[in-house]
Amino acid sequence: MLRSCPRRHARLAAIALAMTAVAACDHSDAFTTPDTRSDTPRAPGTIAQLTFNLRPDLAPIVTRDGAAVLYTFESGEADRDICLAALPVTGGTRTGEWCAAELDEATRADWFAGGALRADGALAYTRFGSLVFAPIPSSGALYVAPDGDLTRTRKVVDLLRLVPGIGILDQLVDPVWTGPETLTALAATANIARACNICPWDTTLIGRAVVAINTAGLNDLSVLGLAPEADQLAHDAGSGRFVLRREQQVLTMPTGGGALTLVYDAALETGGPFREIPGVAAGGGRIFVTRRWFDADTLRSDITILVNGTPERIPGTLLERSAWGRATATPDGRRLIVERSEGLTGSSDLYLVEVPQ
Amino acid sequence: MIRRLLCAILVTVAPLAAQSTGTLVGRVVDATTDRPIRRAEIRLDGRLRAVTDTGGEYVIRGVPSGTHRVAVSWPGFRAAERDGIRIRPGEVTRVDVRLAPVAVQLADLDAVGVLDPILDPLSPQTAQRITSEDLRRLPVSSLEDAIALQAGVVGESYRGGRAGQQAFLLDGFGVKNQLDASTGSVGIRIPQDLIAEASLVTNGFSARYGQAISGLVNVGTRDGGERWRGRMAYETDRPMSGTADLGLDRLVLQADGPIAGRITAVGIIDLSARLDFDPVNAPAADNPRDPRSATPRPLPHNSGETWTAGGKITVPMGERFIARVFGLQSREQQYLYDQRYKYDPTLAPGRRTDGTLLTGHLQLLPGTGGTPIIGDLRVGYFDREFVRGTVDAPDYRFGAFTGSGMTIQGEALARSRDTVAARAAQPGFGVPTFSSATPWGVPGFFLGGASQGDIAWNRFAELRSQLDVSIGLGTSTDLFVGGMVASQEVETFQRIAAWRPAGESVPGATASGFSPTITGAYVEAQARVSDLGFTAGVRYDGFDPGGDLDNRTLEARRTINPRLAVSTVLKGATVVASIGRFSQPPDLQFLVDAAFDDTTRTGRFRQGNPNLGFEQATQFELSARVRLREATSLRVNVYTKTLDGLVSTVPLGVNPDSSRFLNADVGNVIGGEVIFERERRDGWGARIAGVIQRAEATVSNAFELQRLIRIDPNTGDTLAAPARANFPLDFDRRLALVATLDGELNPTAGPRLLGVRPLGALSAAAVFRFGSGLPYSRTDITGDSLVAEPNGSRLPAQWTLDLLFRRPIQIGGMAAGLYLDVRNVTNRRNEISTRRDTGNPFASEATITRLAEQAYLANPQAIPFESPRYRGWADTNGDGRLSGRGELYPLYEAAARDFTQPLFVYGPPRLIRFGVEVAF
Repeated sequence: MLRSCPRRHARLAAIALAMTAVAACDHSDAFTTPDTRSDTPRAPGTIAQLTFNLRPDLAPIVTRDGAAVLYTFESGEADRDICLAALPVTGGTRTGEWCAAELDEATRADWFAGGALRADGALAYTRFGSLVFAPIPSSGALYVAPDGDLTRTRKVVDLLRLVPGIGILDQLVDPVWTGPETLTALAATANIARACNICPWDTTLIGRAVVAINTAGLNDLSVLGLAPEADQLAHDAGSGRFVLRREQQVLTMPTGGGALTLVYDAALETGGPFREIPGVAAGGGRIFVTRRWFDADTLRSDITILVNGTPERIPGTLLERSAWGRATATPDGRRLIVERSEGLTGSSDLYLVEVPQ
Repeated sequence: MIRRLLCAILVTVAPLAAQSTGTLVGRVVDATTDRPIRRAEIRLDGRLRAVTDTGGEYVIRGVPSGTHRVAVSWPGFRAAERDGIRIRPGEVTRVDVRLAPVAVQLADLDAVGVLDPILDPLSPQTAQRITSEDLRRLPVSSLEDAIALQAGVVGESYRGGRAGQQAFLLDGFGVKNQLDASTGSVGIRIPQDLIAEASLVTNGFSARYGQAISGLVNVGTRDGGERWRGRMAYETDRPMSGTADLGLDRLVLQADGPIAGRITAVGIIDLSARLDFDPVNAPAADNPRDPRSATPRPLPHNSGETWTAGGKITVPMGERFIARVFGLQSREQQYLYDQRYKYDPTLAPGRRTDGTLLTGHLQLLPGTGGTPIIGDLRVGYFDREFVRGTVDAPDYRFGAFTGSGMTIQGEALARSRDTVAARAAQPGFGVPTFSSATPWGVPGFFLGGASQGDIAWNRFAELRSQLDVSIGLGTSTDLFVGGMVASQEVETFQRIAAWRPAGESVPGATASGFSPTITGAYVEAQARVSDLGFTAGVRYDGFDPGGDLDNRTLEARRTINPRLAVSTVLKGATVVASIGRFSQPPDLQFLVDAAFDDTTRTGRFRQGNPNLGFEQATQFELSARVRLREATSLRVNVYTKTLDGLVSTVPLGVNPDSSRFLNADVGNVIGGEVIFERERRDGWGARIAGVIQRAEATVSNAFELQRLIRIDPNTGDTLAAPARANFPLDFDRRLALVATLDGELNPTAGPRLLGVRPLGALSAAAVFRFGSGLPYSRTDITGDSLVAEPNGSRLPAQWTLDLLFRRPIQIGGMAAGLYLDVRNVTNRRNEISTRRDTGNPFASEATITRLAEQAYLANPQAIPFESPRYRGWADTNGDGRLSGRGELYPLYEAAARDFTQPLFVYGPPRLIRFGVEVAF
């Protein structure tokens, strides 16, 4: 009996080996969900339309790694919610959508006003709520959602409140991750008014300061530099500066904070019609400015690169009866994502503009 | 022969006494003179157990079922010994011995016979046996598969009864999931390799058994042998490809043998997993954009695995006591495919069931003299836990094996049964939205984003003590007395839509915890007077739901259940008439306000009733058994069973979605069974079992009767169905036929190829099953109003053919085997349910149109190119957005057609498994 054991064990091992050999084959897979996503624009080109939403797509911000662009879009629901979306910077299908989804969300207007995606997927976003059709938000805050999961979101900054050193803090504009736990944004006050009794409500942001936000805390803000009247903020990591927009001016501020430097003033331009600058962007050490103006009652618009303080038009960007709006640039400055609307009041879509080098 | 038979009949004690034991009888004679030998010693497994009387007869009662070694000795004669004597539970095995004088050469044991269970007049039971050989020879892979081959069985329904109206005995110890037996599993799985023999009793079973009104499944497990042996087997369908490969892997390891002295042990591990755990033979989808058109099987997120480990230690204590300790632990976990999550399958729920059984059994065996007494004291602990809810995506390690327990989100909350904390929205649960991953894109029907957020958990534990005593009174009467008490513990929890706080549209969590007690006692006598055998017994059953339910003291319920059987032999046929009353406590789930994974039938807001009483049945059966030839037999049973106090859901107020449980319904089952059997001889055997039956009951079900509206054509009045009218029960299968045929070729059969005879010793078995259609209720298109009588329509008939081929081989001197098991060989598409509105598996065009229209009107907004819902092929005008009815409605219609595809209305497809096994 004992003598036969080794041989028996060897046989068992051989059989086990044979069984293992059979087991090494793979099993058939179940059906899988068809992948209908794309990461290219519907019609690729130097200038390509990225979004086709019938309602406005606004406030694009390229993520710090240049892979995606975050923007806001209207959901089309009756409660007029505004959602946040992420799109590959080259266009295609949205890779993320964040909308209000609480049980009672249909009783309110909920809108996401801007966001920043960290490389690990953490999403910082500002969110406001109000009664449906009420123009003034009744609540607002900056949140951080780990992995973009809104069910695990955490409030970082209360908005709609008085902040020492800043004043009334209604909005944190164009947030961008500038450190593992640090967001930088333009703190602003909102002026909500309408030009006439039957005119639509309009919101004008009035900048106060560029602030650094410690997202590990609550309401932990520090002022990097004052930025009165500014309403847009772009970050150019390559050149180590922020770029800010005022109604007719483009200014810069070092990323460590400090005083503003005027780099372009449209009011000083001579010869030609008055030109607005709806948007500024920065990347690869360059500053981009969108402009719009009326030429013999015809709306025109273009996108320019500031060269030594002088705007130079990017070829192919001159529009007629359409207008470019806010813009954002990839960190290398090779691509711009720009709002574009038909006329001054038409719905806005996002376009990709390949910047000539 | 007649004398031997009569002698055996007279001394039969054990058949009903201890269903895990049998009796050994025989006669010892001098081979040279045929004179009986007095005082010859009979040893069973080496122990002296009996001596012969003056007629040379001996009786050994209380022999554990299984195989034994019998030795007979007497001075002056050559000792005789034979191994492999099979003792069946409840049966008498006869071993006659002709002892040769020392100087004479003779075969050891001259005759070995079994007292014919077909003709045994003291066996009033209609028992259908499943031997370990059956389990091995037939295409079955579980005890449940084997039981389903027996007459009168439809799934877990016996003789028309509801699932859960049967009792389960493991080595004589009662095991029952009293909490939700009608909708849930027992929780433990008995590995095939552990079973010595099982039987199904569907008629007037002994007064010893309670907690059942439809049938009794009696399983005897094997003891360890005197030398170490074992079996290792691996089954898979990996060699198949395409839809035949459903991802099966199964590994079985079994070993038994002595561990010290006469102490023996059996151990087994049975691991099984399949990627498509619940396969369906649904047709492929028509639309080529539907992924099921190219790959109809397997379904995603439909895998499951079962792990079972068990062991038994047998400790002989002196000559008259045997102690056994048995343990079994099972886990079954399954990811549940949900059509709503077809395109986000990992968000569909999962469920896990854990079962633990620990028993101790002390058996007193009769001595060699005095009044024979067999005593069985059993104490056991049974624990079953069920949880269902949101699960993480499976992390497969090998085939469908994950190697870890499924984690259900919110399980900790469920265990705490904290209904106050459960009112808040629970962290970790997302908000389900319409899926954007479908081929159709549009927001409708299919869900994504997050799970439904349901949590269902329950636990049932029981500590049971059971004493059974069998006493032989003289040579013609046996007395059985005993009792049991089971202390139970029940805990339940249920919460739906955990991502929302409980409020107006979300009911609060329900939870309960209480401790019922079940008691039973019986006395039964079996006697023979002339050619008549009498069995008379009475059983007391008690059920107390416990004082901690419903915050008030509830009265215990008690019932007395007489059982009576008369049997005799008439012209070679044994005729048995039996009548018995049977009672079982209701499922404990019916006592509390929860629905336990059964929310579609009667709504979620069911109110439990702590005052529910026993469900009861009274059955009369007349059976005749005859042996046509030496190896063939015929059994005919006719029976009628009245059902009383069946639990039903009765309308609560005017809201038909709200109901309360009551013992409200009564019914009747009437039928006949014919079982023809050819025993396995000369290399083949066959069995045909046919059933004709009608099972009906009243229907107080709120969901059905309250919505069965009929208008009197003369008066215009609205009529409800008559309150006491009978309608078919859910398991009312009118006609059923099961035929099995198995055979084995001679080792030298067939041509020799390369030195091997491929057909030599090849065994094959076939099982053909036919069943007429089960009933169902027709509804209108909305699904909430009956348009005909409850269960007034019938599904089509079902049939399947299963085959098993097994070829023994030798691997290096070791016995091994290869087998091929094919179920549903013809790949027949059996309908096991149907749509109630159309009467076939498919939704009507009107239903699809209605669903599509509703979905489109709910979300008519345009879908732009950048949306994950955009589908370029549907953008017919090429404007970069799907807009308007022309572009959107066809997508909604395709989604509705996809969503209404029938899947689980079909039974399993052809299932193929290859196996390799080694005995060591």
